[in-house]
Amino acid sequence: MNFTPANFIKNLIYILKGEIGLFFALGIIALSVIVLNKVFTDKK
Amino acid sequence: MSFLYENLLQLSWQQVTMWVIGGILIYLAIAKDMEPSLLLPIGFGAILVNLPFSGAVDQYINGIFQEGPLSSLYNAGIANELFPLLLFIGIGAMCDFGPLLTNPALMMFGAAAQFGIFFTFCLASMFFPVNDAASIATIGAADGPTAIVVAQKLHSTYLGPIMVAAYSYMALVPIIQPPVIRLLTSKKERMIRMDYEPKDVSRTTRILFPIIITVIAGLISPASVSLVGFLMFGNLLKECGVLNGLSDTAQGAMANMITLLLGITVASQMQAENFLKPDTLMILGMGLFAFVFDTAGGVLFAKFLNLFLKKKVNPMIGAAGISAFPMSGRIIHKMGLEEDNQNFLLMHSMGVNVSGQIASVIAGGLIMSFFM
Repeated sequence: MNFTPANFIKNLIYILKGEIGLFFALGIIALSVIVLNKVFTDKK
Repeated sequence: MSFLYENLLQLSWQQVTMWVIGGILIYLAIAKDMEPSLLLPIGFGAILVNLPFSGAVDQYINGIFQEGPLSSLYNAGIANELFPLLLFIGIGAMCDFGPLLTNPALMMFGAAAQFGIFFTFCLASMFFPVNDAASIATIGAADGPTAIVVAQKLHSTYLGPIMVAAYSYMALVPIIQPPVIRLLTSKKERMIRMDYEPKDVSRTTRILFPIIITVIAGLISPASVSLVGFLMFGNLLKECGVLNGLSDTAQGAMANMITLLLGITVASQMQAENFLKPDTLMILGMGLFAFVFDTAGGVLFAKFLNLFLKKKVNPMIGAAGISAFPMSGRIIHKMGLEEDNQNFLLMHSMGVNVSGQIASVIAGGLIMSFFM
C-alpha cells in the first residue's frame, strides 16, 4: 500500500465520466418508460 | 493423550480475534436483526475457517493438500460469479418496479446516489492500485453481488474484505444513513410532504421494461450486461404472468438457497492471515466513506432540484437511491413518519430505491468498462 495523493486529482475525471454515464443511461431508460406509458396505458 | 490438546496449542491470537469478529456478526444478526440471512452465516463461517487446521477450507497439512468444502464452494460459485448472478434473478423477481414506472423521473436519484462509488474510487486510488481501488469503491453500490462481480472481473486481491464490507454495511444501512441525512437536511425539509397519485401501469409496459433496460444497459455498458440481464430476467419472470411457479421459486427457495451458500462461502475468505491486515481496516473505512457519500449525493441532488421545482421533493428520498433494496426505502419512509406522522413517503422512496438497484448495477458495469 503506497500513499500517492496525486492519484486523487488524476482520477477525479472518473467522477464526471461515471455520473455522466449513469445520468445518460438512466435518462434514456426514463424516457423509454415515458414512451411506454404513453403508448400502452390507454390500450389496456 | 496429546492429540486432545495439540491443536489448541496451534491456536493464534489472530484466529481468536476472528472468532470475536464472527461472534459480533452473529450477535448483530440475532440480537439486532441486521441482515441475519447474511451476517449469521458469515459470522459462523468466520469461526469455522479460523480453527487451527480447519478442514472447512483448503489446507496443506504436513505438506499434503487437503481440499475443504468451503473452498470448493468458493471456486464453484463465487470465483466464477455464479452465486451472485443467480441471486440477482431472485432479487429481480422480488423487485416491484411499479412506483418507478408511474414516476420515471425518480430514476435520476438513483444516478445521483452512486456518487460515493466514484468519489471513493478517487480516495482509494491514493492507497491502492487502480483495479483494487475500483473494486473497493464498488462496496458503495450497496449491492453485494455487484461488488463481488466487479472485484472478480478486476482481479482484486481484496475480494474477502470487500465482500465482508459490502454485506456488513448493507446490514448497517439503518445506522449509517439517518445521521448523514439529518446532517444535510433541515427539519422543515424532512417534513416536506409528497403526494402520491397511483396510476395504472399496463402489463405490456411491465413486460417490456426489463427487456428494454437490458438492451439499453447492454449497449451503454456491455460489461454490466450479465448483472443487469440476470436482474431483469428475474423481473420478467415475475411480470410475465405465466411463470408464477418459477417466479416464486426464484424469489423464495432459490434466493434463500443461494443466500445461505453465499454467506458461508464468503467466510472462506476470512482466514485470519488474509483478513487481519491494515489494508482490511482501510477497505472497511473506504466502504463506509462510499455509503456516506452515496447518501449525501442523493440528498444533495434532491436539494439541488428543489431550487428549481415548484412542487418540492422531500430530499430524504434521494438517499434511497443508494440501492440496499428494500431497506433504504423503508428507512426513509420511517424517518418521514418520525418528523410528521402523516407524511407517507414509502412509494416515492421505494421508487428511488429500485432505481438505485438498477443504477448501482450500471455503475458497476461502468467501473468495469473503465478499468478492465
